[in-house]
Amino acid sequence: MKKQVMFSVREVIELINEGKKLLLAGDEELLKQLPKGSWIGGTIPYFMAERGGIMSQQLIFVNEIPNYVSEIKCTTYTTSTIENIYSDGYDNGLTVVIIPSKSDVHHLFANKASEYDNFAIKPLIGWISGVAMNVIDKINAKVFMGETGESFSDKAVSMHIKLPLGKYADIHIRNIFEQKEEGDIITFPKSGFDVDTAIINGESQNFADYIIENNIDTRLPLVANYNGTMINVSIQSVNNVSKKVHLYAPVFENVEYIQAAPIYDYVKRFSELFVDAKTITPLFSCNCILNYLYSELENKKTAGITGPITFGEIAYQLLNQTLVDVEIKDV
Amino acid sequence: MNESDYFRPIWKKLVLNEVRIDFNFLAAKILLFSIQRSISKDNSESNIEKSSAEIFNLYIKNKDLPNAKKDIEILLNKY
Repeated sequence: MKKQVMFSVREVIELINEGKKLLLAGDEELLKQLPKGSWIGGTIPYFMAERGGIMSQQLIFVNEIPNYVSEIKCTTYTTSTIENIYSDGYDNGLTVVIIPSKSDVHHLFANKASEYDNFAIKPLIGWISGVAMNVIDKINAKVFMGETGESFSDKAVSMHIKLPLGKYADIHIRNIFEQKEEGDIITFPKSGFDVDTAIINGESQNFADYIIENNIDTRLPLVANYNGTMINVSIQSVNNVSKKVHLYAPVFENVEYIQAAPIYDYVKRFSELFVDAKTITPLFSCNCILNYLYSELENKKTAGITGPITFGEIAYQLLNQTLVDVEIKDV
Repeated sequence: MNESDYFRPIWKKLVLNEVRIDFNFLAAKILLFSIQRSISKDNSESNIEKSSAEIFNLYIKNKDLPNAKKDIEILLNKY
């Protein structure tokens, strides 16, 4: 039988009162009802649950930190302090972070994470919290700090987890997208979430015009090759009036991007990435809302991997249209 | 792997993209990409030295992890 991951508010209250250390995802109205305790949470109503993709504003997704973890510290981060997120982690540990979508701390982390002390040295995983698609411009995404009972739309929350000697955090980036063969090589003279000029196969061009004139499928992300790992930048919108393209993550100047090759069977592609699905037991996993929507994952499964469906994923840095997971393994 | 391996030339070769391997360790892929971007903007000797130290530091801190071990085997034995 599949392990339960979706819980009612009453059940989560029991877990909190038992002293469990929890990572939570759910609708704001549910998280607001929870008592103080050893938990952090983020708002989102979409999940990959035991039976497949669902939207729920009645249930909370729960990841429980194992009992062998004896020490955690929960911290909030502002734009002034987010640079410490890696350094604040335990020497042998894992940090889980949740950041509200569209917040200044979200944008700052996305742009600057690689410049922070101990970037990639200490394992970091997490997600960008969001809201239901029908209220996306009306309600702010939030994060919750269980220890104090506070919620924030302008701060990140994190749980730094100390792992016992002999255990380590093994983070995976599972990207169903690959660079299109013979695709246009695209670079940008400036980093950022909003772009206008691009250099396409060596020639300078307005990126919005390039997308429109070439009928580019904007559901397919730009893909950069990070020493063999494919990292996506997803396209949010193309504005033909301002001639700007808005992205869900920043592009970085002079990095080569190629648009992804199309995928015709998303569920099959996820299964191919998880050939070891029956044996892996992630402590935490999340998948992108764009994968959920474009792949039509409602009521479908992604190789049995469960988790919140998020407005961005974090595996050392911000990612788009990706599934990330972390397992705790023995050295 | 030990502290004295810091003085081997492989770390500088890595950050300068003079050597490419099929990395197993995800953190190394991510860190090295960021380092190489930094060096493309600032290829001063001090930045190269700092960057070499960073990638070495990543590997020596994680030398017992399976994927880091695989990379270290290649980096120290082949180069």
